[in-house]
Formats: sequence, C-alpha cells, structure tokens
Amino acid sequence: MMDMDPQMAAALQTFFEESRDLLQDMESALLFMEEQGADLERINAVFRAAHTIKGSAGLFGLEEVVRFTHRLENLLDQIRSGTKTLSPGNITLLLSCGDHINDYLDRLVSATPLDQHFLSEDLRLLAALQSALGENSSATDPSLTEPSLTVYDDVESRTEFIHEVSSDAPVKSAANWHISLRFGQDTFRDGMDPLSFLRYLQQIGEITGLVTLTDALPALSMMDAETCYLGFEIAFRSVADKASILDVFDFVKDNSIIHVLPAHGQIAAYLKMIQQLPEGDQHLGEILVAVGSLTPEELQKALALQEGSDQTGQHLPLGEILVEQKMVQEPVVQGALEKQQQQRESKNAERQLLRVRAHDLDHLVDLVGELVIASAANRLFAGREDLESRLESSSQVARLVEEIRDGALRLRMIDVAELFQRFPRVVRDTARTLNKDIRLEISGEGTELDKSMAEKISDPLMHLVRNAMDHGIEPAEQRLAAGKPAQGSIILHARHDSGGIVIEVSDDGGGLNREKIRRKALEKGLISADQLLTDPEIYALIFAPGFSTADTISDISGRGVGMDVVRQNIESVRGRIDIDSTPGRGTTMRIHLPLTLSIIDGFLVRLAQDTYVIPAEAVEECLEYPQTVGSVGYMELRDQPLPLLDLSAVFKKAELSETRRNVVVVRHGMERIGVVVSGILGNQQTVIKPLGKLFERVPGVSAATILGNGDVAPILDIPTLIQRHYAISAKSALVH
Amino acid sequence: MAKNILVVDDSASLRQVVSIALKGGGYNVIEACDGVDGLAKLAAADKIHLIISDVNMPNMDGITFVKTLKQKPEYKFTPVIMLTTEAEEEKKREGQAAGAKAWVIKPFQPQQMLAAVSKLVLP
Amino acid sequence: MSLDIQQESSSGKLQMRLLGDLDIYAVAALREALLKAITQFHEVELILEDVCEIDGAGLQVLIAAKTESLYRGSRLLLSAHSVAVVQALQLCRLDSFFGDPIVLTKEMPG
Repeated sequence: MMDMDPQMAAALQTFFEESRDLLQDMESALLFMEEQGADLERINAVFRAAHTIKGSAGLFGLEEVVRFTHRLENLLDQIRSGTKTLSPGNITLLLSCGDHINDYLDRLVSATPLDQHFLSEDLRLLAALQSALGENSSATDPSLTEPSLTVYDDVESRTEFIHEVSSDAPVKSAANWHISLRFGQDTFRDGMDPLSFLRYLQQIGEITGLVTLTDALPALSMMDAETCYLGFEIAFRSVADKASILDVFDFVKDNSIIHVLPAHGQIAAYLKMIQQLPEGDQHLGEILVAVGSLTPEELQKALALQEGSDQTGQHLPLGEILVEQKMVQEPVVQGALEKQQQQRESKNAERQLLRVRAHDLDHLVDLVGELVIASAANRLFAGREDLESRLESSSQVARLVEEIRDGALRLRMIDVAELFQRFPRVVRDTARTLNKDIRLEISGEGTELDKSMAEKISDPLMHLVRNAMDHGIEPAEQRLAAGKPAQGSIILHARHDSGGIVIEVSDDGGGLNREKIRRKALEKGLISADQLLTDPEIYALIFAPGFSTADTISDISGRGVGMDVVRQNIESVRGRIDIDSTPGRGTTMRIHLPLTLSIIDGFLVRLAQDTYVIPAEAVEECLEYPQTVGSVGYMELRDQPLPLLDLSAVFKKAELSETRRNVVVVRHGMERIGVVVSGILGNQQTVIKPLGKLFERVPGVSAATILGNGDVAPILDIPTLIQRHYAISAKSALVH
Repeated sequence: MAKNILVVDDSASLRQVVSIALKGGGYNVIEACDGVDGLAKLAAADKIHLIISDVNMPNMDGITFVKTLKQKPEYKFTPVIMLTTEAEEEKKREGQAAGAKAWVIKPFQPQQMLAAVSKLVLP
Repeated sequence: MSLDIQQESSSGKLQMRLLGDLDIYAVAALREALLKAITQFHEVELILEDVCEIDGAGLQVLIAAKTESLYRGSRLLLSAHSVAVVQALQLCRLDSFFGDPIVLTKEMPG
C-alpha cells in the first residue's frame, strides 16, 4: 500500500471507514430483526450495505471482497424478494459474513497476512451462502472448487493498481475499418453528442478519412434544431477490434444505425482467418464471430431477423441477411460458408455420448442377426414362383425392420427415474435450509422420455420442487393448526398421456391464494378489474412475465420469482404447464411434454389431399359426419353436445367439399372434441421427427412424421387444439 | 475550461475514486451523497455538463433524482450516466425512461468510468 | 453558459456575434435568429470568436444555415472562429464546406 498514489490511499482509507460503518449498520439491523421479525425497510438497508461495499471494493480492485459480497448480495436479494426467508439460520450466516468482511478489511489495513484460519472461514461461508441460496453445492462454482488462494498472500500489490492502463497487452498491428454512422433523431435530446463520440474514437485509433452526411437535414425553415439529422462515413485505422469500436457507440446503438466493416483490404485477411480456424462444429455466425468480423450481438440480431423471415414463410439464409444488413461483406460470408461445408463433411460422430442399457443393445443386435437371415431367405424366395413363401418372407423382413427401428429409437429413451434421481438429495438439503420436515414421494418410474427432453426439463423441474417446498408447504405449526400432519410431502409423478408425457409436482401445502394473485395481477396491469377469470386462468397468471417484483414480500410474490422462466423453458421444448390448486389442500404443477424423437401409435387421417397424424392415445372413436349438423359447430353424440373442430379452418385450407366426411372424437383430460376430416386412413406406428423451422410456430402441430411414400405428415397437437377451441368459443360466447 | 461533472452516490469512497479518475482526465468534479443533495448541488452550480448517479440511495433514489432534474429546462438535455449492477436490468430501463441514456455497470474500474464520460463530454 | 446573440446591421449587411455555448440548449433560438437574418439580409456575417463550446446540434444548425443561404443565393460568412469552432469543423472535415478563411492562432492545432 505504501507505493500507492496518495490520493488513492486516502480514498482507500475512506472505503475502510465507510465499510465498517455499513457493516455496523448491517449488524444492528440484523439483530433488531432477529428480535422483532423481518421488515422490508431493514432488509433493504442490509442489502444496500452489501451492495455499496461491493461497488466500492470493485473500484479498488479488491476482487475477493467483490466476489464475497456478490454472493451475500444474491442471498439478500432473494430474501428481499421473498424467495428466501430471513430465517434464524440465515441471520446467523449474514452476521458471520459481516464479521468476515470486517476481518478481511482489518487485515488489509494492518497488512496482516491471510492465514489458514481466515481461508477456511472464507470457504465455509461461501459454501454456506451457496447452500442458503439453494444452489447445488457441487462443483459448479469456481470460487469453491478453485479458491484462488494464491491471490490472497499478495494483499499489497493488489491495491497498487489503478490509473496506469495496463500496457502488457500484446502489440497488435493496426487494421483499417470502415465505420458508417446514422445517428438517431433523439441523439441530441438524449444528451448525446455525435462530436464527442468521434473525439473518443480518435482516442482508440486514427480517423483517416471522414465525410459528414447532411442528406437528411431539412431546410433551415423546416428543421427541428433539436432533432439530430447527422450521419458520418469514416475511414478508421486502429489496433482495436470490431467489438471495441462498436463499444464506442454503445450508448446510442439502440436508436442509431451503426456499421463497422473491415475496409476492403482486410477481407483477404478475414478469409485467411476463417480458413485457419481450428476444426470444430461451428455455425457460420460463430465462425464470423470468432474471426472478429461479427460481434455476438450482431449475430443475435441477424438470427432474430432470420426467425422473422421464417414466420413470413420465406426462409432467408443467414449469410444473405448478414450481407443485406451490412454486418459483414459478401466474400467474407462466402469464405465462412465454405469452411462450414468442410466441417460438415469431416465431423459429427463423436459429439455426444449416450448411456445405453446393455439389454436393449443386445436385443437390437439379435434383431439385426435375424434380419440378415430373413433377407437372405427373401433373396432365395425372390426368384421362385411360390407367391405365399415370397409374401411371408417379405413380411418377415418388414416386421424386423420395424422392430429394429423401434429398438434403435429406444436407445435414446431414458427412464424418468434417471431424471428424478437427483431430487431426494435436493429435497433433503432444501428442507434442512428451510427448516421444514418434508418427505419426497416419487412414482411413475418406468415412464420413458427422450434424453434431450429430460435434460431440458431438469432445471425447471428443480425450480418447481424448490418453490413448492419453500412456498407451498407451510411451517409445521401452521400445518398442525390446520389439522394436517406436521410433515409436508412433495410428490413427483410421471406418466404417459394422450401421446405425451405428464410430469407432476404436487405438494400438500396451503394452495395458491386466488385473491392475492388476482390483486397482484390487477396491480401489475396484467388483467382488468372487470375480467372474469376461471381458477386455472388466475393460477396461470403466476407464469406471466413481470408478475413478481422484488419490492414486495409475500408468499405469493415468492412463487412468481422465475416462474416465467420456468414456463419459457418448458415451452421451448413445446411443452405446457398448468396448475391445480385447492386452498388448504395443496397445489399440483403439471408439465405436459410432447414425445419428440420418439415413436407413437399414430392415427392417420386425410384432409383434402394431405395426411395428418393424430396420436392414437387421444382417439376415442370415429363417426360419420352427421347430415343434420348446423353451422354452430356442434353435433349430438349420445345426447351430449360434442363441439366440432374443422381442421380445414385451423390450417386455412379451402373448406371441405366432400359429401362424406368423418368425425374423429379425441380427448384430452376431461375435454372432448370432434375433429372433422375428409377421411380416415387407419393406425400406423409413427416416428416423430422434430419440426423444421417452418412449422415450429404453427399452433396445433407438435411434430411431423415421414410416411411410407416419402410425404411429410404433421402430427396434431390435440391438447393445444382443444384448448384453443375452447378459448375461442368462450370468447365468442361472451360476445354474444 | 474544465467541464463540470456531478457525481451522486451514497458511498464516499466511490465518489472519491471516481473523482480522482475524472480529475485525472481533466474534468472538474462536484460530489453529492444522494438525490436531495444532488438537486441542491445542481441549483448551486454554474453549469453541470454531465451527471453520474447511483440508483440505490437513501433519501432520494437515482430514478426520482433523474426524473426531477430532467424536468428542469436547464438540465433537460444534459447527459446522465446511471450506475447499475448486472442484476438491476429493470432499474436500467427505468433510468433510461427517466432520461438517463448512458450507464456503467457496477463494480467498475475507474478507467471505465473515465471512458464512459469521455464518450459523452470532452474534458 | 447560455448563448447570447448580438446583432448589428449596416447597408443590407448583418453582423451576428454569438457569445457563449453554441449547444443543444441554444439551437432552437439560434435557428430562428439565423432564419430571420438570412431571409432579411443578403449578407450575414457570424462572428464566432466568443463561442466557448459547440456541439453536434450547434454545428448542424450552422450547416443548415449555410445550405439555406447557398440555396437563396445570399452570403453567410463565418469569421473569427474560436478554437472550439475550428476543432469541430476540422473534426467533421467541414472547413471547405463553409469555405471561410480560418485564421490560425498559436494555440490552435493545425
């Protein structure tokens, strides 16, 4: 510290004093709340103390303090938002953390080395914070597995830092860039000055040419002097990379048009770089990002545009978009594409490993053996006149091929038990943190789902389980008072249902508070005061983005934290989530997943010239289309009205003109509906293929399959179709 | 003539370090410890060219402070840099809506602050 | 510091002296003054030696005024540029657009 700039030394002194005061305030507030119970104002004060210490420590390069207070801040933030409670255990932990920071600062001031005692306390508290945060205390956090202890023995040199910009960066050669700027109209009004940005640009390189563009500038009599009409084309020479140049304009990037391109002479250099990239599975965009020709942000923007173009039905190649958007120049894209092609040809096999049951593999090998024999027999019979033998042997081959396909697909499936196996430990640890007695029941093992699906669903499921434990299950006293056993229970259950998989997380806690959710949603403007909502609709509001905020503490807001993320994750694998809840009895969160990459029994139907697949599990019966149905969209089935759904309307086809039509009665949960089709083609085992980009957002289609004749047939998403139909009829019922 | 920068933050050490960095870059620095103090310093100053404000402060938070100063005709076009943390994405948006169109993420190095200021105002 | 505009006319020619900061806070008023000046006089001289600061908005209104005068066939002269004005014109490579002689003094960068 001796060599430090005297001004900085003085500032550091201020930091020590300020931090001690803040830690003292924090301690008083915590002790007060231990006696009197938590209150928002004090929790906020404690949060602000940690927050301030973290912010200032960063300025002095005290990375250990930053890291430590960051963890502390996370816990406080969750307490503030109600996800975590200010339990006695957490108060004790927070107090110890305060002591620890104090200890660190004392040692820094007195230049006392950090001994073993300090280091073990550091590790203990970090681990405790992590478990209080409910994080998996295994190897995910580098600060735990790799405590970077070596940094600690060097307290003095770490505080010297500052003011000198590090000059140890490797010397790079300057490159020529072309920068194209069109400032947004509000630039001046936002307090931004284009001239300042240009001057700053001169600090990181040399402006070798510049043209001020005034084309957009109206006549003096017409112009609004406070509106910015300026643009610049700049030739720039700098050692800075593209991201650093773009960074100059970070504050205006949202409303301005900014392009940074390698000047023409550089393109050859870029092409060379692309060629020299190490082998690996990279997309075009990633290649361009890797050479520095494109920033990750630009890539995202281009991908968003691509998605937009997909929705209008015309799929634009990424390369085209990049050139169109002036993000990179055409020859550069071409080079990257060629590189990508090379990679495709040489790679792919070793990417992913799959654990497979030996039994399944043996079975598959046996089948292949049988197939070899059967196809030999087939060849033998092929030349013969004996039709019966020929038919028999070819149907034998067909059966084996089908079984092999099934067997091969089974290799990708895992037992849901594998997905569930981490939960007993999680529940035990979380229960301990929450100081609750909670039992976990798991059922439905044997249900299989696709491995990639299992991976994607794992985290959302974890979130739901923790949430149920934290906010669903009431404290023991409350449970006893309500006449329930003191021990709460969480049930994880999986099963197959209408061509999909259902995973349920149930708790026997207090249930969701309908009124509270409604009030909150009203407050947030998610619903209007006169809106009539069913219970499921109200419960679904907790998944709305922005439903929860950090500034209120209640069990309900706690439930909202991150729930929109859970929903997004589930929807990203084309799943759905819904909620059943009974006040005082508990809540069930039900995740419905499709069976992508799997096999289902399909029920093939015809709609005009096209074939569609309905998951056979959803089909109850088939009827002839009645002659007497009106235009209201109902028919009578055994004295009950059955709503009819005309598929041709859903998929915007010309109305069916056939006189003979069929109705396929399908069911999801308690709801039934009659799907009107042109004809019925029968049952067939169907291999589910994930949808291409084009279909991904077609509602009512969950996947596709390829038919024997090579045609693609969409697989209908019956639950969604039923839901949509009911939603639409409910709406029109309200109108009438 | 050196430009005046107003630094509003409840941490004295942060103000001190920011002040050292900015003075090193040729700026003049005026400090305030919260929104209320910030408004008082604005009223007393001759001209402030740029304002740096924390979000989370006692007495008057940064958002309220920015909203208030942007209503004053003499400061409506003055650039404001908001100090937020990674976790305060929401606050950053609120700040931008209030008129703070630039931001620096905490914790930051003094040089980063100097860079952000230099992009907006010449020393 | 706000902008002060002093005007003096003689025989169809107007001299405008700008004092203070030629920035976003000043441009609305300056635009009006310039428009009026260019409409009424066929020669307008802008004396810039007392301009302390100029920003993009200030420069933009000068560009618009110059364009307007060229369009009308009248004359708009910038004279006695202050350091701040010279630096801004050079940064944007606009010295030749205005076409006025710039007197370099010692402290001005070339």
